[in-house]
Amino acid sequence: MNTAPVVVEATEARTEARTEALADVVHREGELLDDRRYDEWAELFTDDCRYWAPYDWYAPEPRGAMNIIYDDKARLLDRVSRLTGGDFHSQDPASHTTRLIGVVRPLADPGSWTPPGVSEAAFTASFRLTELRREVLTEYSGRVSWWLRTESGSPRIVAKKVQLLGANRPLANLTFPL
Amino acid sequence: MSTATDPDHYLDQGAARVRKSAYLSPELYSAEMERIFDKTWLYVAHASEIPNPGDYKTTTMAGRPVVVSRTREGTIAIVQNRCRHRGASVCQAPTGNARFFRCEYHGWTYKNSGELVGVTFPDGYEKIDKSTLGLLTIPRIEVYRDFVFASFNSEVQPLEDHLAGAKEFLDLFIDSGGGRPLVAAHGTQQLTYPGNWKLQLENGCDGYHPNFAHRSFFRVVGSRLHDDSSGSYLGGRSTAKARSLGNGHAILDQRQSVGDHYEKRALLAPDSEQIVEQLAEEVSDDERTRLIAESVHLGFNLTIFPNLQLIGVHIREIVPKSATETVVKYTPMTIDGVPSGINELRLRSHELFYSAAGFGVPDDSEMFRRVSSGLDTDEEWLLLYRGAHRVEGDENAAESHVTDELPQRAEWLHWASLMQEEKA
Ligand code: FES
Ligand SMILES: [Fe+2]
Repeated sequence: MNTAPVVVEATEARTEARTEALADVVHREGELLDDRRYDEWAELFTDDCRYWAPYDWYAPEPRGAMNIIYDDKARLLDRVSRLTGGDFHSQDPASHTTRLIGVVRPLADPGSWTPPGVSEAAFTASFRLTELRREVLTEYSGRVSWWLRTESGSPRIVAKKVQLLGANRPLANLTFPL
Repeated sequence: MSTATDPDHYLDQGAARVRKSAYLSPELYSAEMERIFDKTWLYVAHASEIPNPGDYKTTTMAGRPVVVSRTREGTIAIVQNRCRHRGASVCQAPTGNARFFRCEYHGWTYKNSGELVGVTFPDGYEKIDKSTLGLLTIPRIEVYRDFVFASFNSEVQPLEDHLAGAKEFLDLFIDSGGGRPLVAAHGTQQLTYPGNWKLQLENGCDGYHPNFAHRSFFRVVGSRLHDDSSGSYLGGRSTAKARSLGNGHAILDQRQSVGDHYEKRALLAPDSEQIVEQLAEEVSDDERTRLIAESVHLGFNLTIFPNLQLIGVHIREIVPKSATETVVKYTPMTIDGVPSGINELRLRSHELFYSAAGFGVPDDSEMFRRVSSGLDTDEEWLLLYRGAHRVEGDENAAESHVTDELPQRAEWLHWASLMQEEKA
């Protein structure tokens, strides 16, 4: 299992600081999405990343399931290209979002899915996201989990999983990244 | 018949033009439910959703909650989900397995085929004829090669007559497993849009819109494939055809024009390198090429009037909610018995275009929203006469260019004939 924090030869305080720095990236990620800085958002992801949002909250893994989103880096960049490249009608006008990320804690039970990329630590939090589009406010809630590692000195996202409450009910337009 | 429910009021010149109120009027919507959804065949389920005795799924038929079950004998039963005592629903879950449906309000118990088998504290009834108090059943059910259709109309024509020319393409869809069964094993996703159900009906076989409504899809796919003509198989010069198949059914046939686009598109999926490597050991080259290309699309979009469309690898059910609200259910089909990589590619290709976060269908929904907004202006008519001068063949088997509005006119003319029947 590559999701457990790596054991480092260091004081506990240093380990904690390092974990905190890693966890900080999840807030930065949220800000970049809310600010629609999608190119910078994509750079947070490693080349071997996965971005996954299942329809079934309990889906054990993505490959054998029908998903809302299951991106590798190339498909994530396609997603960004749609968001930034024009002619994206379901984002014209664009969705404006704000998200509250709850307390970010280490992911105690990583479940049965192991992302393909190697990670140093994994975190999870509840979230609440409000979307404004065409004068309509839509609320989304759920749980988000991140698998992270440090690359060239910066924390990067190896995998992001978004469990959306009510993903099985009729959905309208989820073309902004969750 | 009042003007508000008279089909002649809504169509002009053989459906060359349609009046805007056809998409807005609640009165017309009620008439459609009575004259179309209560009278013709409706797609209800795929038999693989309920493979074992006792399996059920709850769904709706023309607004009514129903339970579709597999009986002990292996047949398909459909009952209305309403206890005959004082009205409570008897089955709560979207899917499950149950030997009986027990109403939890006062405990009446029914077989999944509807018969009332138990009334609690029966001495409180002087006499009760249980045989007249079963759950309401649907008068006609026919299963065509695992596609479950049902009708509230006991006089409805045999299903195969209703399917008319669509049967050939339904068969092609079913046979795409190469003798292996198609299964609905990955659930159903639902999308909703604020507009009339006929906008989705018209869109399923609309070959005019992809190069515009889906421009950014073709742009990103084209840039991945280093091909800037990736939507051209549906363009103005394409050799693809639109066809009417009788009874309001239609197809867009792109099989001749699509080339190897689907195969190349399939291989853009996450994990595809690993999948293809694995497949090389599992299937012959020819079959692999076919299965990969068909993991995206079979080369035709099929509409079976009024509520079924087969597009890509999925079954699409149109669920009207009101004159201005529609839910669309998407059930991607995998093939039982192929290497798992093929089914992964089918799911990936489905997600790419049809998911709520997908690169295709949300842009269609956006157009339905924009049309619904445009309907609030003073202009009365929507134009559907594109290509009317170049249609070949008779009304039930006509052919036209893929970008022509032949399918939409065929749908509307059949709509009018069903709406008309009540006139006499
Ligand atoms: S309502 Fe079902 S038993 Fe009374
Ligand atoms: Fe479309």
